[in-house]
Amino acid sequence: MKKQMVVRSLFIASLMSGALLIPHTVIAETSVVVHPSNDITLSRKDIQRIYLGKLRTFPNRKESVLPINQALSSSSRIQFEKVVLNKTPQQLKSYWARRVFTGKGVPPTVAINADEVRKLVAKNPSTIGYMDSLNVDSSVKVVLSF
Amino acid sequence: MWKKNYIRFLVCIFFVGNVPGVNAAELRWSGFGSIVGGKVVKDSDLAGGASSTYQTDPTLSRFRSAIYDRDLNFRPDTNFALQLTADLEQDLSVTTQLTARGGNSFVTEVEWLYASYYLTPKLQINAGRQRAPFYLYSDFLDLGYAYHWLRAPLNLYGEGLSVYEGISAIFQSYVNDWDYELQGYLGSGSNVTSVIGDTELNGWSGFVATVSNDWLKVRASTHVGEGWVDVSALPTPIQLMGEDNPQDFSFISVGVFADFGAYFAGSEFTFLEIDALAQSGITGATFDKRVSWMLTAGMRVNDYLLHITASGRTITLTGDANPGFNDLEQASETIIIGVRYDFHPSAAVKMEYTSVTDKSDAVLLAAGKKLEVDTFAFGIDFVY
Repeated sequence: MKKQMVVRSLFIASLMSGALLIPHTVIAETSVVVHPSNDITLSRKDIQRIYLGKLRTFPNRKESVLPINQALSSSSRIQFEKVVLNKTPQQLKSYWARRVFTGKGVPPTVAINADEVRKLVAKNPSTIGYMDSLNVDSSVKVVLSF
Repeated sequence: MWKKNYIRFLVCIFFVGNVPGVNAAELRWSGFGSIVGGKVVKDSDLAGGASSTYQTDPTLSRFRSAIYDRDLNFRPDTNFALQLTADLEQDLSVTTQLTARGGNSFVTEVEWLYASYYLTPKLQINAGRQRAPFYLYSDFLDLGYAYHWLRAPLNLYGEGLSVYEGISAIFQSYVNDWDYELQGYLGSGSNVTSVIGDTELNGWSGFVATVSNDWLKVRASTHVGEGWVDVSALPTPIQLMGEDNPQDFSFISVGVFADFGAYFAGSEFTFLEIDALAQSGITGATFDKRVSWMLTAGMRVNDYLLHITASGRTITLTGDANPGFNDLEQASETIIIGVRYDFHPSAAVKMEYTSVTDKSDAVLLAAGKKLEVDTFAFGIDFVY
């Protein structure tokens, strides 16, 4: 329902700005990014484990990995949770409630927007984030796009 | 006494972490709660003109506030918990969770109080007061928000002891698409408000293995220990399980849960055996073994979740003073039908109808079907 509304408002916005509307312009691609110095290959499953607190370090590093989330309402997050985590927002809320109140971990830090995710990842090799592929620049390295 | 010691322990850890004076601990507050009302809508007649009631927490059997009867009651399932975690440097944290239960007249209890340390990124050691991991839902039994029911099925979860003081180790890793978690623990516990009086469990240990993938979770656990009861507090004292004569107990549980998003189904089976003789809830009869099970299924439509659960429990009795109780079964079967509506990102409203049938042997039903009762309850669960 929400998604439909987003698509609809994007559609209206595109019409108003006179942009040419083709389907893939509204289905944004999302990229998972790490620090450029982080020489790592991560599968979808690895990323899922990191974001669910089941994998606490990058396979090639010793210190704890710091996953960064976007705001609940962000379309990148909705896409990320659906494709990579394979869980609904409610399932995740209840998953984290279980972990937090049994001492098994805390949910990822939330950044305000894609710019903040990029800045945090660009300055800390222990972090991992995701964003709309349009926001990716050379300060971060893409490990997965979908 | 332990309370004092653990607070001292907490204070020590806190100071040790802060001695260098450079890194203040990061404090995190969080919490959850449930506000639930309910009443008995159909009861059965008992001897002496009484009617059957529904008791949501058998450890609080002495308190009327833990029991639903024909009057609307907002206490039995209402609770509120506050958790404070101090993250110290280098993978060490200290957590305490305070819980106030309506059934216990909102007396605040320390439900968890432990220090946690990651020995390696995959191995977590917890020391202190923790929840005993008997069942699939044990760890977060108070956290209504984390599951579909208003309360986990009492045929399994209506348990006396749920908390122990001791040490546990949790190892978490994976193989291909499967995640697994192995947990071992050692400790002791006590319960002063149990249906059979003040209960103490010592040398309590157990092992839990959980395997899961994106949609399936399978869990098995085994526990052993030694227990005794303060027999002087029993209405008809029996010298079977007193401090000088503790009894071995063993408990196993197997659970499975499959979640496909739009649909889910789960099941659990448990078996409890007490080595020799222990007092049961029935005067003159002793508890031998208990089998309990549940089957649950549900479907999610947008923010709504509809669910149905069948569960059962059979306690086999033996007679000590009265051999007439030998091999008698006290049994009940329960159907729960309910709905959950996630109207808010941090809260859900729920409604539930619970129908219990007393399946005990005829001899035990002479005074009426004590366990047979239908209850309706509704409420809100939240996390913050």
